[in-house]
Amino acid sequence: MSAASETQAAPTPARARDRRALARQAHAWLALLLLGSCIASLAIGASGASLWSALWHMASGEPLSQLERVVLFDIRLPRTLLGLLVGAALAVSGTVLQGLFRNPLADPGIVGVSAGAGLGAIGAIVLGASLPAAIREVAGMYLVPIAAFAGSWLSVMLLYGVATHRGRTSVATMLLAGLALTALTGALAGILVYAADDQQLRDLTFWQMGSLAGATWSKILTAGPLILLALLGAAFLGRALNGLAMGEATAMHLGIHVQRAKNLAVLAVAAATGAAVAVSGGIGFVGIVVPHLLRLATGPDHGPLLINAALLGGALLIWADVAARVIIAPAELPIGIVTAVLGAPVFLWILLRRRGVLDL
Amino acid sequence: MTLHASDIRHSIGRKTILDGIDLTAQAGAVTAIVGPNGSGKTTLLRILTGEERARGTVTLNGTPVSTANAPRLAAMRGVLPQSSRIAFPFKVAEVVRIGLQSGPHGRQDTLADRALEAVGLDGFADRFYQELSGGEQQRVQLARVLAQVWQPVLNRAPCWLFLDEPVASLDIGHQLGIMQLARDYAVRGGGVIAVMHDLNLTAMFADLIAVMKAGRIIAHGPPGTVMTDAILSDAYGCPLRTSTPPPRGMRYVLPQSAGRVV
Amino acid sequence: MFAMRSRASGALLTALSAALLAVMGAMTPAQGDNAGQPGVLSIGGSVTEIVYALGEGDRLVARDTTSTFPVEARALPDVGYMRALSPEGVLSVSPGLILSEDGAGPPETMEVLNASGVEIVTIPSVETGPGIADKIRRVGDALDVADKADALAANVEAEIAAARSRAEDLAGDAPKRVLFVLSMQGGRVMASGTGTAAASIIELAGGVNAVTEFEGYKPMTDEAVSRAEPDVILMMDRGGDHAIANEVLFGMPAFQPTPAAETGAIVRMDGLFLLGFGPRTAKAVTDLSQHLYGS
Repeated sequence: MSAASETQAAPTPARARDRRALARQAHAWLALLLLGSCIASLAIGASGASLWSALWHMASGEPLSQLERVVLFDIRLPRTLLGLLVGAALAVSGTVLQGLFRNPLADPGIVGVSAGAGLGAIGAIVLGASLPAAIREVAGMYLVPIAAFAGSWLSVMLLYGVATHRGRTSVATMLLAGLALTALTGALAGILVYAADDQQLRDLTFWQMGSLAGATWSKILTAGPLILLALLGAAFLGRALNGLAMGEATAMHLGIHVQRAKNLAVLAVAAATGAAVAVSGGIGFVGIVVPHLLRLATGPDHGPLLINAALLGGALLIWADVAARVIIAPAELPIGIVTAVLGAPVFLWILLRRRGVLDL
Repeated sequence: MTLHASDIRHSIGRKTILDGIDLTAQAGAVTAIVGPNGSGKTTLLRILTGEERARGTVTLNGTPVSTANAPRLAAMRGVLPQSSRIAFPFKVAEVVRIGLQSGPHGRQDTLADRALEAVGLDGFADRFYQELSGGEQQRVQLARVLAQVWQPVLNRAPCWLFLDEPVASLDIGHQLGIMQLARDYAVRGGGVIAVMHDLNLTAMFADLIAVMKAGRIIAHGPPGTVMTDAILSDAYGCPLRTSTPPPRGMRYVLPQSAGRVV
Repeated sequence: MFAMRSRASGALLTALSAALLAVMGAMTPAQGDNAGQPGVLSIGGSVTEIVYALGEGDRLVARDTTSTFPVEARALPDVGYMRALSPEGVLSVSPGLILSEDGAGPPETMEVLNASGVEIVTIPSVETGPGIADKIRRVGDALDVADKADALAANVEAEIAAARSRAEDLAGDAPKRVLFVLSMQGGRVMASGTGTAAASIIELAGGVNAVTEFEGYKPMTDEAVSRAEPDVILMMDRGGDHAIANEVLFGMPAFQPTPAAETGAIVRMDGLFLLGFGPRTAKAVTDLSQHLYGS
């Protein structure tokens, strides 16, 4: 063994460096996949409207038929964009939370975001009619998303307040408080569900299973900037999450502003997941499966992982939405069912393949 | 340029952990902190590295540690924890690279491999950290720390290694190698602070020893002065004899007597 | 590492090819652009029944999940649950007109459908004889068969009135207390209070709703069920394995002490038939009253 002095460096194996290069190459491939998914989503649908003939019409200056215009611009395009945004939001939120909790199974549900959003949505669905008319008019059809978003923000803020003491956040306390909050919101929701009539109950069920069917340009304009901001913030967490993987003390020794990183992480997750859940209901598995697949393929380095998660999450959700729209056409499956049906087996496969490496 | 700690006091609840510690460590020397379990060694190290706050002052190269921000400290010193679990399946080279990119030498990619070689782990770059033995993992962590502050002297200021029981899970061969590494770092101008359990290795490699007992430093000085029967027996609460062979017939293996480690 | 690299590229290529194939598939011309009269999508079991009763069934191009009568309706494409419609799915059946009960949704979907030029006519539901007649007339107007609709409406209204008075006679001075059980999921009795379709049909058939303390469908405790002292349990006929056997039902602590348990009085009727409030309601009233009181 030699001391740390001027000895000849051993020939460096190319393999370990390849994972980093691989992760970076994946940016391009996944961006291509995302682009392909968007095109597919615009081209595929239950009705006969064809993307290609529409493009042809536009190119030759002819007006589009009303069907083409509505289907492409009011249905498929908003859904594609929303699917992209929500998929990226959920995948990145999962990645960030797993890094923050140092646990590959962490999920936006844990921090209480989903619970709070759910309570907000249930409240809006069940109690909506009893709100003063002025509020109902202003909110219009966005009463449920607004309430869901407010619910998720309130729970995360509450959670963060409980877990942060004198400027330092205890991740373990946050986890436990998240469980408690989920139980509490579940109980409150149960009371509301009791008061719900038959129709409201069915609305609730559908909300909980998630859907992109209500995709409108207004939703994209409200949720979009929030999600994009959150994604941008999360992109800065790469180095911090790598350090945090070895514990908060080591992260601090590595020069990471730990509390700042935690604040940013929680903020980004609350914003991204809150907005996503508010506009599309409860969609599961994306936050767990996407980061896992990527870690297995290109390594757990959070820098490129966060970017790849956004790309793959967006692509995946777009495909899930295509499946939801087409499988039982002219009816539609709730997208949460599609992600669960696809996600659960993939998750099990991951666990079986890599039992040793995950070392939980 | 020194590490200077003055009147450090720290309690948890009503229990006093550190009861007025004064310590000065020089660059270019290996300073060892020894003492029984519960004497406050690790707590002291945490305060010296800026991980915990306490009453009193700590300065490193003239910079107060409690107010300096994390990146500033990271450019000056690296910290080796007692043990480290990583939550995700990182490879060895990736772990070392995390350290490399936290220090002033982030752009020099080759340092990662050189650090691994220095701790005797060349060829391990592509292994999964989680699959290694405890001793191998500890050496990977040391490589990470070395990659962070590779140059013992940077811009005419010394860099520092803070090591918390660096050889605890290593076999004797690797123990000697790692301690030699720490010594070399000091010889080339860096500062080394190590919390140690092994008294023999401490005697071999430390320039200065601080003996702790119940939150206080009861002895402070070079091995010759500090490692006496009286001081050590008092510190550890059992009758210890220095430089005395065991009863006739009983075997003993001393690192001090080891041949030159390659 | 290199194996993994080519595996990743391979996966990508497959994904892209799949996308390409799908895209090409979508380029095939659409089916079902029928020229001529715009197709009609009917949403809501009773609305569909009325359309068929008016003889306009062949104008329907699709229906929703609750439209199960007549049998011909089931052969039509199903656009799903009425409050969770898929906009493109609806458009894919090329409806010129959507006839819908109250509450089709979600609202965003209805807006898109409006924007696409589809005419949407909502048929409000009132659970009385005159209410049904009104429904029929509105459907008739929307379908441009007002004369047929008037005739049918008058007929239906008269039939219901007649059935109602027959039922009142049968009931006499001792109308029976009827408890409508919506479901028994998880062992909990989900029963009907006031203001529901079930409450209305019970009243029309000469019965008395055993539960008046709450509105809508709510879970009831076992004690509340026995305190309601129902003479008859009314349930929807689920058929097959979903139906709970009578002996099992009356063995439950909720029902054991009830008068219904003594006589083993359970009535099961088809859900749409019983609660749909459409053209068959007169028969439903008659059938129910006969079940309650004998003929």
